[in-house]
Amino acid sequence: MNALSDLTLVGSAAQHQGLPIALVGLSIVFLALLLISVFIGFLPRVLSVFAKYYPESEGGHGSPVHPERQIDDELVIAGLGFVLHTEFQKQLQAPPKGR
Amino acid sequence: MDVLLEFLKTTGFASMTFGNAIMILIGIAFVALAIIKDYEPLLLVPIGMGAIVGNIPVIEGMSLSVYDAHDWIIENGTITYVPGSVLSYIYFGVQYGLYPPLIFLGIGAMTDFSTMLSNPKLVLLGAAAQIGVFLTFLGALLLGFTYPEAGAIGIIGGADGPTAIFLSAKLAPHLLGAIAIAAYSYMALVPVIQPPIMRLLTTREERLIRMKPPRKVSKREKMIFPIAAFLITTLIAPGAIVLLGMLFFGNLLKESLVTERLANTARTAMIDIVTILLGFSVGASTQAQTFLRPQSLGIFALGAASFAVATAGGVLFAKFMNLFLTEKINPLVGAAGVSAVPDSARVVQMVGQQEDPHNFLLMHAMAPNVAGVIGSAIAAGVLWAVLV
Repeated sequence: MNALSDLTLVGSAAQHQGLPIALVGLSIVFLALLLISVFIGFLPRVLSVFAKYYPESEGGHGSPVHPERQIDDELVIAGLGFVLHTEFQKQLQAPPKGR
Repeated sequence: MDVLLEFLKTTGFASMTFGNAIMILIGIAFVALAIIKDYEPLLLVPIGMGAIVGNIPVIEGMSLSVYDAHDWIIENGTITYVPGSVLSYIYFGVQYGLYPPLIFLGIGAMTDFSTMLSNPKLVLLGAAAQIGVFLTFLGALLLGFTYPEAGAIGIIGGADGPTAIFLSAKLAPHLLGAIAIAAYSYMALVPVIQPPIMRLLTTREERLIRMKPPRKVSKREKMIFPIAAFLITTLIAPGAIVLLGMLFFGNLLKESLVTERLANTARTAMIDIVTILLGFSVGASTQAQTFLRPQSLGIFALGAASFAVATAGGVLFAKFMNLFLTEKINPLVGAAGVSAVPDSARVVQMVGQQEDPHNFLLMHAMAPNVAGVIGSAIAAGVLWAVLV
């Protein structure tokens, strides 16, 4: 009986301030994410109007090749060129077929 | 002989307590689980090794423990600076909340918000799952924890390790070890905890719901989103400035396309370095005298309940939303509001495919998954602002 009454007292103390904090906290989280959701929902419509005057380019300012990636591309091209050259050399040095 | 006996008295064997031995075994168990079962190895290995290191008994007067911080001693009119232990300097980043925001920077740099941008209503499932935070907060109060302690314990329900460490460092630093281990342990157990709850709360017909493929999201949307979302969330909950600021900063580095080098560093080297330091120092802080207390059992029990409640909250809210929607949401996706990214999204995919192998829910589940990260950071900001 004492344990039960203690639990009730503890429960009421917790509910006294804990419940309002929990409810307000959850409401704030919901409000913030609801506003984000609404914003995300409207953003494509706003951007479609904006795109009429400033169309979005496929490449754009943001996609110039990084210098390191440019060097990597050049290395790949050099590698391919070397392989092609080696193959051509082999074909030139190989005896003609049928003789 | 006397010298030898004196030396033996200073060894760890002489000072070892039963609690230290148990914690060392727990540390070994964490490492074993990480290696053998592949349970969150990037976190459990540093935490486990830290627990082993932190529970070796130290010699009185030697600064070796993580709690041996630097100090200024004023004696006889002179001020003497006593340097702290190496572990205490590493722990500084945990104690003062430096590491979690840096981890959020890396998380932002690796997160793709496009699934969330393509289906905004799924964001609300991330909000619904945060009910686990606040119900656990109430449960902790009922168990007799103080308000700051209850707030730090409640955030376990956000299923976000850095957020849990950040908030417990602010509100209840003496519970940080237990809260961190509870949070990361249950995150590793998401594939075990969530599926039974998901099946219990949904019908077979609901689990078979197929959702429309997400639309393509433009680059402009992805670039504008981090700045706009930061402004919206932090003007409502300023307590979340640090975590959300770094999260959206990292995302902007990724999506702006002009700072690829910085984004790459943030999501690779930087986050790995911080994870090592954070995991190891959190593990070292779980010394027997601070960790092996009855409170820790309560924290572990509440942590398990928080994950279950958060999962149920997300699933039930998805079912509630379906009452008003013509294009139905598969309620399983609601479970991904538990922000254990990407594990809970994978669990949704797995449970959905058990009913229909051709139902691909993973990309849909990523939307509430990443929304849950934002939601748990907001919840932490609110709790910090109210309870500090």
